[in-house]
Amino acid sequence: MLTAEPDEDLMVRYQGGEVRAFEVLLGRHRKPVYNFILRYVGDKETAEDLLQETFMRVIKGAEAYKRQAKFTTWLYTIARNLCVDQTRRRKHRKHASLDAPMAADEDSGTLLDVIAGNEMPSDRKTVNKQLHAKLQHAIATLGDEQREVFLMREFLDMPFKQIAEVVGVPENTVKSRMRYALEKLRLELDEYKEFAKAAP
Amino acid sequence: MTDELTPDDDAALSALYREASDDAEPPGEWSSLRDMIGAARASGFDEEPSPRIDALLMAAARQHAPAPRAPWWARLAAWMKPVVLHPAMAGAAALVVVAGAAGVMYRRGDGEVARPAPPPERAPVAKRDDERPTIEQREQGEQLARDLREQQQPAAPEPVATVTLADPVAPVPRVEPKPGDRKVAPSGGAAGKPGRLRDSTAVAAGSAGQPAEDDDRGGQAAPRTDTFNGPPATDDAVAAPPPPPPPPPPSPRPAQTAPTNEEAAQPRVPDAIASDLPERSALLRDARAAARRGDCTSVTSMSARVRALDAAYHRDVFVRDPDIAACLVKKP
Repeated sequence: MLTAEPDEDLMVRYQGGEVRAFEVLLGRHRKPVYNFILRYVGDKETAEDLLQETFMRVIKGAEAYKRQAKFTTWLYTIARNLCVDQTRRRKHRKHASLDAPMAADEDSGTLLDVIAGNEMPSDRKTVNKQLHAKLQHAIATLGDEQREVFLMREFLDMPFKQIAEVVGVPENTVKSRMRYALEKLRLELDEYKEFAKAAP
Repeated sequence: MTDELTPDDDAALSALYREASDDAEPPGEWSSLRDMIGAARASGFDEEPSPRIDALLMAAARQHAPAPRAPWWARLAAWMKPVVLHPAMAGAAALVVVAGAAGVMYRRGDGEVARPAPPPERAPVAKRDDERPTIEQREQGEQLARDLREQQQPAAPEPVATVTLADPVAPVPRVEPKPGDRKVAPSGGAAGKPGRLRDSTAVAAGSAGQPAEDDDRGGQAAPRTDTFNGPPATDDAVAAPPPPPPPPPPSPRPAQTAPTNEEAAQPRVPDAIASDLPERSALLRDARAAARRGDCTSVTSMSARVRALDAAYHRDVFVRDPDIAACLVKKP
């Protein structure tokens, strides 16, 4: 069964012409790669374009893929490099504006509407909505180097050693960046920590 | 901002993400942050990409999918195809294969080329002792042959005494010529009658009066210059097979005189038959030797040849030889 096979075996199968193996790979990694790119660049349309470009490069580079290399390392190296190129092209990184509408329709509120003031909302759903917005904003305020390390470790569950291979720096450097990212986020989200403990 | 990592921070991160084997407790504030992030992700913080991306990517995957690798034998066949189709290439490939196989065989034989098979050894011993005619049986056979000769009417060229060669096994005793005997060249002994060499062809050709008693004398037959078609055999020739006699010279017809009693007893052989006499004699001699060795197969083939040469000789002389008869009766 293809769904139980590791990524490397699926890639070898695709090298042999099995398109179904690539479909399994795509279904397995499309969402985490998309969220990594989305949290890195901060824009949905750009994230979808970069997601498509990432997997296109995987398709075209399939024949050159070596089985000895870890597939996720190769995949996120491509995605990370595309994100770095994208942020370099933008002179000014677009932070998720608190005043910008969160959706295309005119009735959608802004982040300011979502993020509560000093009073915590009583319903859980609203709190979650606020937490999401706050977390998204807090991640966006991190530096690029800290952000990529934080996203890979926390959202992709990638070991520090593998992150070091993707980013191309020593492991201690990766851990240092992670330490500062955690400290900054802790300060940003301190007011939500009690609510998070009580979450089901 | 520096990238320095203190040991405490390293330990804290390892404990936080369980990357260290020790059971260190992660910092409380970091653990709370992780719990918060986990709660946010569990409540739908992660987003789904647009489904149209999947369709685009799958279409591209089908378009750019690498060609499926053929099995090794198919790849080998595809590589060999142009070689096989081209006659010159196929011939060269076959030559290479043959040369390689020959080289391997040469190397395995430690450098030895195929040796010619040694000449087959003559089988001096028969398969079983009981298959060889014994001396007594040979004597009985000869006696029987003589009796048959005496009883037969001379309708065709009279059957003559058989020519017996020396037994290769038994030593050939030399018989000193008696004072009364004619001086003759020593001839090979005969089995059963030592020191005798009787040439049936010489007698059949019409001797110049050599009586039959000469055969019983124990002496040695005189060289019949007018009828004997070959040089006299010597003792030396007994040990080895005698060479084939030279072709008979055109024997001059004797004078047209009234035949003597001896000549009447010995009917003349036509010239056409006289030319086959040396070959028949040689075949008879060889067949007898083969029969004594137990090589009945050779005897049978020589019997066919003699019959082709002279059926009467075959019937009256060849098959009547005791050794040959014993072999022909017995199936090989």
